[in-house]
Amino acid sequence: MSSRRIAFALAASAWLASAGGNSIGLVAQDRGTAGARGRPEAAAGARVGSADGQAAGEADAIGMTAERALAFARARREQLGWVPGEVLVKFKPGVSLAQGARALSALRGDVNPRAGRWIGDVLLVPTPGEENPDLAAGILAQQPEVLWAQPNYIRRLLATPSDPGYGSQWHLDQINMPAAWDINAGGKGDVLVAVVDSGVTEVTRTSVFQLWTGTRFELVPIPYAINPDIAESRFEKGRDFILYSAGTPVLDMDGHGTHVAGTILQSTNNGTGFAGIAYNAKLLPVKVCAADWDWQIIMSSRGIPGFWNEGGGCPDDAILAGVRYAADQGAKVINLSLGGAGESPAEFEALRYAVSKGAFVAVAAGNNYEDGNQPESPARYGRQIEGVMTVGAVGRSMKRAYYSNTSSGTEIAAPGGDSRDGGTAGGVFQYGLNEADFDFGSVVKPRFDRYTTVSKQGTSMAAPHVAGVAALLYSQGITNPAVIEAAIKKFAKDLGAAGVDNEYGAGLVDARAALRGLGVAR
Amino acid sequence: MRKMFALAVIVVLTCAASAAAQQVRVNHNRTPLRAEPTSASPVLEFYQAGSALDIVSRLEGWYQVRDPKTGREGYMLASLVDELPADASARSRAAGQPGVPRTTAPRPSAPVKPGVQPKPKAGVRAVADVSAVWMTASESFKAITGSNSRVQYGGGVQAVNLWKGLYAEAMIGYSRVTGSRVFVHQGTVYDLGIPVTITFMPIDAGAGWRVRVSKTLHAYVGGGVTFMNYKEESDFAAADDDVSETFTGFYASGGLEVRLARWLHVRAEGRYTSIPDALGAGGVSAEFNETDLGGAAAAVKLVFGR
Repeated sequence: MSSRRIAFALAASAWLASAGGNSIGLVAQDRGTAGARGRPEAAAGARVGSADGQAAGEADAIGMTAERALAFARARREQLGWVPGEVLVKFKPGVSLAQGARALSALRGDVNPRAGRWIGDVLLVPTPGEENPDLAAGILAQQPEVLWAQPNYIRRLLATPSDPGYGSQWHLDQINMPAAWDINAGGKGDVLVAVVDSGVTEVTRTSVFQLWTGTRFELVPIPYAINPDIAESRFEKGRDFILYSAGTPVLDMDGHGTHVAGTILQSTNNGTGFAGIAYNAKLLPVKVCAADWDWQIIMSSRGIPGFWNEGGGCPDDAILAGVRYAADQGAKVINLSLGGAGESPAEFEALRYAVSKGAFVAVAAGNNYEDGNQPESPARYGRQIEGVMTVGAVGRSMKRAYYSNTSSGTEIAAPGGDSRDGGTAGGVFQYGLNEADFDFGSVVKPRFDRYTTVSKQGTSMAAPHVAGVAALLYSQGITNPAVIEAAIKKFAKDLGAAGVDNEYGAGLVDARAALRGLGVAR
Repeated sequence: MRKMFALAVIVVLTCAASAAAQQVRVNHNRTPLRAEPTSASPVLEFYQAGSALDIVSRLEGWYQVRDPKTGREGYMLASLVDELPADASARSRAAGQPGVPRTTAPRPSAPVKPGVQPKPKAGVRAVADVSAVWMTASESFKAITGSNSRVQYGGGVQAVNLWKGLYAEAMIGYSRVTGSRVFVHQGTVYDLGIPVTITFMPIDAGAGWRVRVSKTLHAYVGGGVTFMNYKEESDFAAADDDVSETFTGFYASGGLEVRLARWLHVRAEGRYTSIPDALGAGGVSAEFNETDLGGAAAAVKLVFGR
């Protein structure tokens, strides 16, 4: 990223802020709307619409401001790990807003709690006078009114590339799924599973976005399609907590959420694609992570030229809101295939909230074994909360995958794929978005409506195996998250050192054994 | 446990054998043994002078006695017999003689004339029974079947009066219960809805002692070895998932036997069975740390035969 470009972006940001600041919400329009091009028009109303005749209306209103998008972009570019100029604060019980404001006044600059956003009882507040949230959180934590304060961390999706190639779903055999399906054929439709991730496309439509195509902005129709291996009737209306306002459809522009959802509940025995574990369960797509194309669309919609390939990210405020939303919607299983460094009370409380609402949560342990192997969050909270399981990854040979973290507190192991164990066939295979259609390095006008065999690896891929088994256990009669965790552990196949260890936790999840339970003698 | 059981059986049998410690000696030839303590009641047998009979009880002017050789019981006028001192009774028993000096020619105590009723003799009887069994592994069975009890049907044979009150028996039982597989967490049971069928097929072989309380009532105690064939089968089982094993344990039983008709008796029986180390290696029995497959039972038995 050139300094010129950054300067331009910041200037654009300032300009946009002056044109409306946080209140700017880009107006959705139908394709037929004559849209002017260029920055001035973008400020008045960026082009977002539906090309297939569906009334997009306000459904596609992009809620993220340009400043915030730029802040994210900067965080990714500079590998900050948090959103600059934002903190998450929780006040002590009984603290009034005025008292809270007093605590916030300890920070430099004008920090107004009313400018923040409440997520449950946690306040996401901008700190314009203090960019470094580590500093800001440290100051706030010393205030008597504050229970805790933390940066708004940006988590990563925990999948790493794995070359697609021929392969079978060895990972489903590994956890005994064929025999498990004899006992419980894909769970029941009343079990709602939330994939809190990069989204899972829940509508088939073509939306028109203003995109920078290299030399100019164009109105580009971008087709989206529901995964043909997950029937539309199995979707519960999801929610996007990162880019779009409430009510807009969830769209996956990364492929990660789609792959994760596929492992959990992709249709099985339907002659299409691959198998999923709880293939009768319902899906609640919750988008808390943005991909390259999400950033590109927001930037282009704001009239900011250039290609914004700083990579995706999942801010803590979105994770907190997304997990709470999933639990409030009645999700019985939540999958969190994301993580990052830094302790996050916000994530801890979100997990506790989910379990208190009756939701089991599967969390990816982290992929940084060869990159320092530091504990990751929210994985580190799995062992602290019964009903939340931290999932490590194994390859085809039932050995810990080379990347799978061992310091976060792995509680259970599941197949996550390991390209060093079986080569191209060693990944986790699902029917997913055709990633060549939106390869950021080569595609200017992406499409997200074609699906194909996709191989991925990561603890991101391991966690959904456990989430799927949890959904089956729920429909089998174990409805308490802590008991689901206990059952999965009890019937795990012990790997590595005898008993619980940091590489495999209690061992490899065994779906059949867990579903079959106990008799009197065996 | 097995040693304790053996000791218990020995004690029970010894007590039964030595129950009639004191005796009377018949003073006159053809002294009648009567069915009831009145002179008008039927004569069961006649005894020669010198015969020794065990005292069952003392009545006004009568002794209730039992012939130690035949087990026959009846009543004798007190004026026709002499009560022997306890030590003399013991000596005469030890010498295998009625209570007379060894120099005296032994006199038969057998009746000189057949009695009114036939002499008890060894016989074989058929038995059918139905039992309510309360399992020792109560938590385990309650978790799987919803109840810690089961009903067991059985049948077998008994050989009675083998020697005095001694009897031997061989019984086979059958019991089938259904339930579903579960998961147990901190004592709470979660039903997984996978059908389970459990079959019990015990074979009991044992012996006991039966004593006559009255003309129509006997009491008995016994015990023996039990071989329990235990099967536990469930849906979706793979190889080695189901259980079909035979375990060895013991049982002790006791009860009352009422004569309903000449060939028909009914028994009310209490039975305790212990089959240690049959459970507890897996399943919910391991969760509840219950290892014994036995239990306590209340049984009603119909006995066909004399």
